[in-house]
Amino acid sequence: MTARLTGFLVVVALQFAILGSVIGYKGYTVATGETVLLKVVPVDPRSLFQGDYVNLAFDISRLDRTDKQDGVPLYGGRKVYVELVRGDDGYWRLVGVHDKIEPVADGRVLLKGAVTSDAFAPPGDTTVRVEYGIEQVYVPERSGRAIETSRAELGLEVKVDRFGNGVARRIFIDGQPYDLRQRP
Amino acid sequence: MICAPAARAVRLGPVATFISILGAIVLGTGVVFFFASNWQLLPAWFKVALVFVSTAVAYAAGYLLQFRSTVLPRVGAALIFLGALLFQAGIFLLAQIFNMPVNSPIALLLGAAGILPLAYVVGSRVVLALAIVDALAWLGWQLFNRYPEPPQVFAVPLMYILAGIVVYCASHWHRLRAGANSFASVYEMLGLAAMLIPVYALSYGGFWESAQRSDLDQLRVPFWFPATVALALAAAASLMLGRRDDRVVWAEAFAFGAIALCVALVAYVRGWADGYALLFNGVYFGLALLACVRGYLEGEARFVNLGIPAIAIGLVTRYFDTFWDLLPRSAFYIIGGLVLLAVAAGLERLRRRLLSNIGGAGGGMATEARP
Repeated sequence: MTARLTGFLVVVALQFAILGSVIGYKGYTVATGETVLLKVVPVDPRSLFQGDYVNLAFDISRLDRTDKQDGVPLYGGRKVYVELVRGDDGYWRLVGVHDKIEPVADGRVLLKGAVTSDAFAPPGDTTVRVEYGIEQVYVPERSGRAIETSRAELGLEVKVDRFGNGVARRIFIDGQPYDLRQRP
Repeated sequence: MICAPAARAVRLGPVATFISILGAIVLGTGVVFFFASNWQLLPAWFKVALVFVSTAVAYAAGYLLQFRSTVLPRVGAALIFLGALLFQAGIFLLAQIFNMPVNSPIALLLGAAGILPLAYVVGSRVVLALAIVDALAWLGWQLFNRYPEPPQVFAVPLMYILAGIVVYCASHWHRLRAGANSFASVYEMLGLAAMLIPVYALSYGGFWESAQRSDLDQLRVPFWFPATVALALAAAASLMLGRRDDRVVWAEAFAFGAIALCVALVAYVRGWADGYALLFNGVYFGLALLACVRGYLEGEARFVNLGIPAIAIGLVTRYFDTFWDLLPRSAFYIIGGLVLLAVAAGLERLRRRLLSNIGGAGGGMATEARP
């Protein structure tokens, strides 16, 4: 075996390891994470390049900019950990915001997010937008619009691991899991 | 003496390379669109398998054709490039399959990390260009994510200039090693582009007016910024390694060092913001001119082919910038049209004269057959 072929095989193996790590990274969160149900409002479906998806927003997608979380004001690019607790209706709601991962009481989880730009926010808007990496859920082609315009109550099941990483799992419509293989 | 068919074959070499690479890009795009339009019909395990298998097949076929066959080495190189494209697309597709946000810059960094060593193993400049573009795109995306709001967002073009200096100077490190010499031109062109594009943006007066409105005085320079400036200065100084008697290298090292210091000045001295548009106009035209001079003196046509259009774009931009509000519309367009034609004719004549002095308009990267 030549040195070039050996190097080539090593590099291809490295690339496959990188591809595998993409799966493994989220696989860990799915395997070990706490299941959390978030109330959602879908917006802006469809991506030409990626097929259909629904872009979701949650109650926790906007935080008050004037609030200081752990003594530090929120600004674009800042990492935050929102503390969630399960409500009586099954949906999880916000009870606190932290700037680092820390132990929380039983029955509560920390979900990691990042404050995004609000450069185009209307004047006087005192909130900031936070993204958690669970906003995009891919759905069958041409079904994104139907989900968006649905008047049903929508929820998103999320797995949250001990590091605060979240993975979107299933959309719930009126409390029932939506089968991604079916069009509504 | 080369006979006519042989000469034609030599001329067709770069064309075959170009068409092969174009074919790889079109094929890769088709595969991604196939995923996009059929993904709901395919089970997850099949989609994952498809990503791995399609990448492996492209690499295997490419390696065999480029290195084990004497018949279609250019097609083989293009197939390896296709494999690299499929690997990069595969990261995004796997993210999509598992509902990860695909608007994450980390996918580009992972792509660059996987593709860069491949470029060196197979000796492919087009694969190297893909890796560098990936890395530069990651840098911009990551910075925009980290500093999305004004005035911090204005630091993004400054960082690109520093990154451009480092990428450009990496070309010299490759020239010092005989085996990696062919990669130098890729680093030079992409480094120069990474500098010229943000400098062009910073040459607009409107950019600095916007920065002033966004409380530029509140700009918090990240803690790692001085280290980046120092890295760019060190990279500029490294150009002198092994070539201390070369005046062009001296000029480049001095110019890049001065540009890095200009970037530091902007980051730390905000009170002079009114004059920064003028400063960056000087930097822009100076860089473009330096590229032309380097191309002319070193006999490298690609520098002239990049520098002359950059000068033309700069002149046209400043004409629009300056006279849009000063002249009546009809006079603006008539004079502007005449000026454009005159500038285009003058620059084209200059470019041809420089290229003929160099020894052929097809010099530089265009004549090199290797992908």
